[in-house]
Amino acid sequence: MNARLMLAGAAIGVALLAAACSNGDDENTPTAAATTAAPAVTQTAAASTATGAAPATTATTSAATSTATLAATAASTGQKVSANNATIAELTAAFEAAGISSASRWAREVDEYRPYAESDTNLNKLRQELAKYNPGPGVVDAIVATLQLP
Amino acid sequence: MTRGWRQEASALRLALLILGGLGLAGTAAELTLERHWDGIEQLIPWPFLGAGVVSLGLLTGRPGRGTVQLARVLAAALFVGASIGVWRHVAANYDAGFLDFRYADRWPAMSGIDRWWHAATKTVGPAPVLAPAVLAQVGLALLFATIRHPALRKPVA
Repeated sequence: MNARLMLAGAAIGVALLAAACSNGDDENTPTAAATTAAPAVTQTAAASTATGAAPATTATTSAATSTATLAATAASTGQKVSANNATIAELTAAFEAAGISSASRWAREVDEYRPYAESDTNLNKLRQELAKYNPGPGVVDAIVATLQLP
Repeated sequence: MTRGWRQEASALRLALLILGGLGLAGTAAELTLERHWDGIEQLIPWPFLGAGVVSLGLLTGRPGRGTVQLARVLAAALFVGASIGVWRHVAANYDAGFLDFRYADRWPAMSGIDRWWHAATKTVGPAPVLAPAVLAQVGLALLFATIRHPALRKPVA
C-alpha cells in the first residue's frame, strides 16, 4: 500500500506539472515589449535619418545596417551609465536613447548579472550572458557601448 | 518477505541510490561549470542539491525508521523543488522569447502552444530545461529507494 501510494503521488505530481506546462495562454505575453521589438533602426529619429527613413525591413536583410546604426546611435548619444550602479530606470533610459529595442527588458538583464568586475573593461561577462538570449546583430555591442564601469 | 526477495530489494535499492548519487554529482558539476550563483534565484538549486545529498547520506548504511522518514521528506522536497525549477526555466525562456532576433517580429503572433513549445525545447531563451529535471529524477529515485524499506517495517510483536 505504501508503495502504491508513493507511486500514485509521484504520478499525480508529474500530471500536475504537465498540466501546468501545457496551460499556455497569452497572459504572460510581453505585449508592450514585443510590440516595440521592431528593428531598432525604426525607433529613433537619428536611426531613421541614418538609414534614409526607409520602412522596416526584415532582420536578415537589414542586419548589417542595423548593426552599424545601433553602434553609431549608441556612440553618438554619448550617454553612458554605470553598469554596476545605475538603476533599472536609468539603464532603460540610456538604452532607449541608444535606439535599443526592448530597452527595459535588457536593463533588467544587465541588473541581474551584476556586479561586473572593474577589470572587465569590455564587459565580457555581460556579453556572454546576453548572447544566450540570441539578440539581434549589434544589440550587445550597443548595450555595452552605453555602459561604463564602475 | 523471503530472504531472496529481501536481497533483490536491497540490490534494487542500492541501484537507485547509486543513480541518485550520480545525478547529484552530475548536477553539482553542471551548476559549478555554469557558475550558477549569480543572484538569489540562481542560488535556489544549491539547498535542494544539499537536501538530496543529505537524503542520500541518510539512506546509506543501516538507517533507522526516523532517519528513513527524514530522508523521504528531503527527497520529496527535492522532487517538488526541482519540478518547480523546470517550470521556472521554461517560463524564463518564454519571457525571453521576444528578445531572440529570429522570433522578435513574429513572437506576438505565435500561438500560446507554439511559444511554450519553443520555450520548453529551449529554442528561445537562456535556461536549460532538463538540468533541474535531473534533480527531480534524483528526488524520485531517492523517494523510491525508501519504498518498503526494512527500517519502516513494524517490529514483530
